[in-house]
Amino acid sequence: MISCDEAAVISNKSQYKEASLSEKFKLKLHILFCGTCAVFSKKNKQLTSLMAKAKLCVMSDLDKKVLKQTIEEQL
Amino acid sequence: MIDRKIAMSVHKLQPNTWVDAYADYLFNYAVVRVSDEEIAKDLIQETFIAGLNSAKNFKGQATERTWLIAILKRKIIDHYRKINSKKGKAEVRLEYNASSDSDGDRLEEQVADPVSIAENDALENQELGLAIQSCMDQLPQNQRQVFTMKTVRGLSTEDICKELDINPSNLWVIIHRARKTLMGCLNQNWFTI
Repeated sequence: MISCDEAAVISNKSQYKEASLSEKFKLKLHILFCGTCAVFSKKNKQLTSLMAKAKLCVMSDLDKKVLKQTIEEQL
Repeated sequence: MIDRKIAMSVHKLQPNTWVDAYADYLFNYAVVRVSDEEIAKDLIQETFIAGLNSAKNFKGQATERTWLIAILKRKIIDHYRKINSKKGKAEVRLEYNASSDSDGDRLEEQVADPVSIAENDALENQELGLAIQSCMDQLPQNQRQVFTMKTVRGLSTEDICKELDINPSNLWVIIHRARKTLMGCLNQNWFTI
């Protein structure tokens, strides 16, 4: 049986499709017996779908650097 | 005395932190409204410059972010004015649309359906985006950086580790903290449990 910490790591990894099959199996098994991790895992999945729905965009680091320089010049 | 000091530091403008603290929030706000990343970038730059130039008008009643958003809103309006005047004045005419074979062929009858699911979804997603962004802005710098690289920019674990010189288990600890905080910060009504 894996610990809750391990279960959390697997849950996080599977949000980015980086958990192996055996890991996913261990997580499923753990969740059967652990309510806390079951809630965490469910919420974690929802957070992923919310992030996907929001379609956030970020400025690239380069753009930010340029922006910072512009501000500094004006100061 | 101490209280007053704290209050003052809260309401003072700190332009050198603007980019790290607000650029992403403002950027998302603008992208949704002008639908063009390049234009959005320009608008953010104009906003920051306008903010610097009118810093003396900042009375400290609002937070920095609210104040910057107010400036950005004006910039967005100006942007639409500009493109409108280039195209010639916007015209609103009552006109019958000959090509339409629906019952209501007046233009007014063709406006978007206020209860249409698609539009409501789009609105909700805009709100969601800003809610997430402002939660992300509250994360500690390293968590925000790693989480953004991983989740928003979709970089691989390997690339992030290389770039930031951390090991994978480090990365997952940081991701875990960030996700945990976001779950707590995002208002309960975004979640169904």
